[in-house]
Amino acid sequence: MSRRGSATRTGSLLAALAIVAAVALSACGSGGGESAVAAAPDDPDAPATGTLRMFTYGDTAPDQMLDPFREQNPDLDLKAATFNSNKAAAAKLAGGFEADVVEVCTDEMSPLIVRDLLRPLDPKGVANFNKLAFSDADEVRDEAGHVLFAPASAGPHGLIVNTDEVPEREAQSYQALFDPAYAGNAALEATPLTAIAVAALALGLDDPMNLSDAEVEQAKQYLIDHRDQFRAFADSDASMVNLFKSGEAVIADGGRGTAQAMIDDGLPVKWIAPEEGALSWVCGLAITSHAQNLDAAYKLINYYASPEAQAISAKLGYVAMNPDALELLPKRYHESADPRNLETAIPETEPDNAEAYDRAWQEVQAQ
Amino acid sequence: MESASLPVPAAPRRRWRSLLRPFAFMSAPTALLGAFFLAPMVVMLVIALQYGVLSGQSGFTLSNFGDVLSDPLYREVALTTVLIATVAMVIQLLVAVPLAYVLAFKVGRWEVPLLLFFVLADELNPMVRIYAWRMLLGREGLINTALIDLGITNAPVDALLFSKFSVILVLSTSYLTYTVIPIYAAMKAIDGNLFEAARDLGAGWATTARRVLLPLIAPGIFVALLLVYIPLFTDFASPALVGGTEGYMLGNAVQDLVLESGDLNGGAAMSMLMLGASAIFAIVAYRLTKIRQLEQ
Repeated sequence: MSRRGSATRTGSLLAALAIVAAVALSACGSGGGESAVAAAPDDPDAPATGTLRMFTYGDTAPDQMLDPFREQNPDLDLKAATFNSNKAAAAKLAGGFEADVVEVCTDEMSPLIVRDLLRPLDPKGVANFNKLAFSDADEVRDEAGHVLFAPASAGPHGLIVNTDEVPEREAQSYQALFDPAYAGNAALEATPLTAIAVAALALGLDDPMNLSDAEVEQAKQYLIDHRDQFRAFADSDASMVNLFKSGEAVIADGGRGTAQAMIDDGLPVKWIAPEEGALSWVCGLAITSHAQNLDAAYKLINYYASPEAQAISAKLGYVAMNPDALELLPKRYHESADPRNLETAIPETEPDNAEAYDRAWQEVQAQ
Repeated sequence: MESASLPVPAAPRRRWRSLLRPFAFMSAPTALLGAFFLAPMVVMLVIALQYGVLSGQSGFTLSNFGDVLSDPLYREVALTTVLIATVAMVIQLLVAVPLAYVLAFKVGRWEVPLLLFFVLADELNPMVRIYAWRMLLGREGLINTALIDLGITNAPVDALLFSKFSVILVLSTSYLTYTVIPIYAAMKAIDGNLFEAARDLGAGWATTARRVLLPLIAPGIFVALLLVYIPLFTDFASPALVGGTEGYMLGNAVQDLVLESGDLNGGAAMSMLMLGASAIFAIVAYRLTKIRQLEQ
C-alpha cells in the first residue's frame, strides 16, 4: 500500500468516524428537558410574539381553525408540523425535533410520558380549563396529579353509511361491516386500535380496549377471514371521504367528523352510533419539555379552549369541549357537539398490550 | 549546453499539474457527492445500528437488522413485493423494447417530439397520476363505464382497482419513461445495417431480435433495471392508493415503521437491507447482461 493511499484511507476513515460520532451524539436525543410545571404568563391578554412551533395530527390544525388565532397574534410566527401517531411524535421529539406545543391523545400518549417529553401545565393559565369536557379525567393528569394537557378535541367513532345504499336499520351494529350483503363495499379505518376494537365489538367482545392477547388474535383472524368484505383500508379521513365520494365504499367505521366532511361534500351519509357502543377519542394540547415560547404556548392552548375555537371545531364534526360553544352554534350542531354524547361511549384508552394490537393489524394488512 | 539545461526544472512540475488537474476538477462534485449522498447513507446506517430512541437503551446493536430478518411478517411482505415489482418490471420491458425500437428506427422526424412527449408525461406529479388512475379504474371510472355501456359487462369490474393488478398497472406505467429511454439510447448506437445483414443471412425477426437486437441493447436493459426495478421495491404511494387490501409492500412497511410506529431505527435497518439486496441485484444484472464482454 502506498503512503498516499494509506493517508487517503485514513482521512476517509476519520471523516466517516466523525460523521458516525455526530450522528450517534445527535441520536442520543435532546434529553434533559424541563419537567417542572410550565409557568403561566403574567399577562394572559398580551399578544404573543416570537415563534411558536406546534406539532399535531394533520386534521387538528386546518386554516379555518388557526386563522383567527393568527389574526389575534399578528406578531407571532406560528409554525405547524404534523405527525401520524403519538409514537412517531415521541420518536421525533426524543430525536431532537423541536416543538413548543404537541397534541396528545389518551389512547396513545404513553411514549411521550415515558420519555419525559411533556411538561405539566398550570391549569390556572388556561382560562376555561375547568369548563372543558374531560378536564377532570384521570388521563389528563400524570401520576403526581399534574395536568399534562388541556382537552381540545374529542369525537365518537361509529359507523358511516351511505343511506342511498344501506338502510339505516341494517347498520345498527358493527356486524354490519361484516355483512355479506356489503361484501366488497365496506371500508375500515387503518389504525390498529380502532380496527381491532371494531372487529372485537363485532365479535361480541365488550371491552375492546382491554383485550387479552388471545382475544386480539381472535379479532385479527376475524378481520383476515373477512378481508374480501373490505374494498380498502383508509389511512386518513380524506382517504375515507374519497372512498365514499367515488362510490367504492358504502359503509365504514369512522368518526362523526369524517361523516360531517362527507355531508359537507353533498354525500347522502349518516353517522350512526352502533348498539355495541361508539368508541370515543379525546385529544388535547400539551407543552413539550423543550418548549421555548411558553407564553405563546399558553396563548394557543387558551385559544383552543375558547368557545369561539370550539365552535369552529364543532362545525368540523367534533365535540365542543367548551360547552359555552353551544351558544355560538346553530341548533343543528347542538346534538353532535354536546360533550354529554360521549358519556355512554367506550373511551379509547391505551391497552396494556398495545403492541399486540399493532402487530395484529400489521398482519391483517400484510395478508 | 544552455538549451539542454533550460526545460529540466519545469518538466516535473508540469507533469504534477497535469496529474492533479483532474482531481481539482473532481474535488467539488466529489465533495457534493460525499456531503449529500454518501453522508446521508452513513447517517442511515448509523441509525440502523442504534437502539430506538423510545427503547430506553442507548448504544449500538444489530438487533434492528435481526428483528427485520427474523420476522416472518416481513418475509411475507417481501415476497409480495418481489412478485409485484418483478411482474411490473417484465411488463415494462415487454412494452419498452418495441417502443424504443419504434422510436429509434421507425418514426423518422417524429422521433424527438415523441421522446419529449415521454419525458413530459413523466413530469406529471406522481400523486396526480395515481389519482388519475383511480378515476380511470374505479367502479364509476371511465373504463368500467365504457365496459358497461358497450355491454361487455353488466356490473363494474372490481378487480380493476384496489387489487394487485392495479398496483402492477400503476407501477408499470409510472416508471415506463425510465425504462424506455436507456433502451432507446442503446438502440441508437446500433448500426441499422446489422439488421439488414441479419435479414440477408436468412434470419427472421425473432432470430434477429434474439441474436442481434437483445445482446446489443443489454447495457440499456441493465441501466433500465437499475433505474426502475430497484425503486419499484421502495414505492409506497401506489400500493397505498390503489392497492386496497392487497398491495402492502416493503415501502409501506418502512413507511409504517417510521411514521406510525416511530421506529426510525427499524425503518432504517429495513431500508439498508433493501439497499444491500439492490446492490446484489445490480451485480447479478451486470453479469447477466454481459456488459463487460460487449465492451471488449
